[in-house]
Amino acid sequence: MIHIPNTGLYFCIAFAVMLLATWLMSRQGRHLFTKDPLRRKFTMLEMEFPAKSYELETLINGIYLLPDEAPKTIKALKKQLLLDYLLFIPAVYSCIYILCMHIAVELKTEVGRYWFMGLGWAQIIPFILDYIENTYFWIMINKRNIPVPKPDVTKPEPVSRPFKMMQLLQVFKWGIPLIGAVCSISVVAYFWLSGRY
Amino acid sequence: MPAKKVDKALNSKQLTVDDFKNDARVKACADHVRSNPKVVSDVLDDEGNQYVHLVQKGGGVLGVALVGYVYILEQAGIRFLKMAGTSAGAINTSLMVIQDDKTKTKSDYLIDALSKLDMFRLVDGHPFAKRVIKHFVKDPDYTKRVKKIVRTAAIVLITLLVSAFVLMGLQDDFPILSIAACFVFVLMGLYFLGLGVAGVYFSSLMKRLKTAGFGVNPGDFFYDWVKYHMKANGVNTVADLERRARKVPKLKIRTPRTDGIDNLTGDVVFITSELVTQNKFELPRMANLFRSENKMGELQPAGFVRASMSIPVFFESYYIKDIPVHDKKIQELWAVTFDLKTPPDTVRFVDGGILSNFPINLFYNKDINIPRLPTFGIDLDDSTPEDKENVPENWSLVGYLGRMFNTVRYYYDKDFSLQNKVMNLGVGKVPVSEYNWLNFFLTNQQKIDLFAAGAEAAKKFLDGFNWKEYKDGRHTYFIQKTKA
Repeated sequence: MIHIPNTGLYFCIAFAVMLLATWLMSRQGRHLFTKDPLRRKFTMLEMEFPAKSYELETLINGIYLLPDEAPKTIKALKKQLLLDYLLFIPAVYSCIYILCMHIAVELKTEVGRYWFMGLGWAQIIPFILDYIENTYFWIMINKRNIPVPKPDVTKPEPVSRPFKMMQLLQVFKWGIPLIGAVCSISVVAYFWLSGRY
Repeated sequence: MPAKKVDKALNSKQLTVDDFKNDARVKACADHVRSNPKVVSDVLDDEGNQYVHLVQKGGGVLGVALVGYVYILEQAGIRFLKMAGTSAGAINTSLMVIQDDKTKTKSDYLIDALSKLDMFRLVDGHPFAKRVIKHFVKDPDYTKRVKKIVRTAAIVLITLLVSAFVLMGLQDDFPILSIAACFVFVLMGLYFLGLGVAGVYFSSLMKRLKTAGFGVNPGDFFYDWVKYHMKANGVNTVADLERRARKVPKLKIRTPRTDGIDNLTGDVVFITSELVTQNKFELPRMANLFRSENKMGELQPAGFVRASMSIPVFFESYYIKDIPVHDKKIQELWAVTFDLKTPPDTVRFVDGGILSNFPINLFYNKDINIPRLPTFGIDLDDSTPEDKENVPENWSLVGYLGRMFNTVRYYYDKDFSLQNKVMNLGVGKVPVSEYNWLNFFLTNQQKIDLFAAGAEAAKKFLDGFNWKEYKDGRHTYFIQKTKA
């Protein structure tokens, strides 16, 4: 178990960086446009959670169908990804790690300690997955005319391997930090309300 | 074999044409109409088939019943000259009209297409939305399910809050309970996480809905499915579709009539509602409002059917873009048709059912004294006895809004029907109140039941139909109108 000195200070710094990154990224989000079937806005979340196979590919192809806006959109996407790489990812997982480790130290039961310690270290998994995902997006957005198979109504809908992998990745990338954050905040709330903090 | 086992076996297999046609109820109807031939029209072909115009009502998946109805009409030796439909009616109409020879039955192809169609794939939106739709639309009254889920969520939350309250109160006296209290807090956190995720997901779906033209499902599979059938029948362009629809076999008039078969042509009409100019469109007839003659090939006829069945919110709207607004001929057409000086660059269609779900007025010609052939209409009746007995004071807000919307929606067709009651003599009603029109997850048994309901309604209609009475009615009505 790692006892982090000045937990509150480190947590606040990481949290502030996370908020700053979120604000900067949301500003970039104003420039994201695609054509599907008409010109429309899209968000990074749409890229992370495509509803079905080849939706990401269709969305990226749609960006280049707006020749006047495509350079701006690609530039904004790259800026978002860079901010994610450099600020958001390190900050958000550090926040959760600090919280989990702090709770682990405070708890009296062995099970609780190991659970929160495990949750803390487990943040390394989504941390790595997030970098993999961003790298994948970075490669994809530079491609033009990504092949999308033509629909065949007589055959079952094709499911691409990247789509399946992406779904699995999202489960771990979002599941682990969310459980870590929620469990920690719940225990913090318990400590506060019971006056043992 | 016990009934449940039969159902299970039936529901797990791929349906065939024979599964529909060999159903005992359907067979009985087919045998009945074959052995009780009836005069329904004065227009015949060399094989003795009688010709009528046909209008099919919209109604989502209830359209399966339309197929059963058409099958029995064909078994009675009836064929179709002009055809029209809205939404599900447009789908059936399109699959009938694309088949080349009007003297041949069309329902075999329809049933085959239906049996091979995985309706689940029509719901081609986000997987979550798909799951929600599947969960809620199985029963006609889905609000019960919503209430049940909300109640369960409320009970779980109350239980957690009470547990936390009690455990925190007792933990000073019984320190062991502090672990349980802490655990309940974690459970509460997870509960709120679930709610939060659901909320964020829902809001992202709403955003998505907005960007997708307020449609949960893109309707791409449906479009491709219709296009596939059109292509398989050699219909690739709007001109192909119109040619196929207009084609008429060698016809003759029943003796002793002497008025001949002049001017009798086939036709096809799909009804759709357009939101930019707020008009009702009859396609493919009005396709020349979107493209000049030499560029008509850019329009895909499957798009017209897709436009007609764009159930608002359930499916995305269908767009026709890049209308040549500076083309003089197109400007003139818009001015003449809709009194619009500037045509829109893009039009956006939603389901024709919001304006005219049962366009029985299409083939009515007020200048005809004694018709040579009747217009048959297939009406899907989803009203329940409770609807009629419903006490207006007891309506919920949803019920009230629903009634208001339906009053507006149905009145266009109802007005015609009330003013031209004689046209109702050609309309048969299929009772379908026990099915939800948006249940794209029908089991095989339900599909066969709907088909059989259509077949039984067609048999009942034919038993009650009297061609002489229809003609006399139209004649009397013609005289009344002329005098007026």
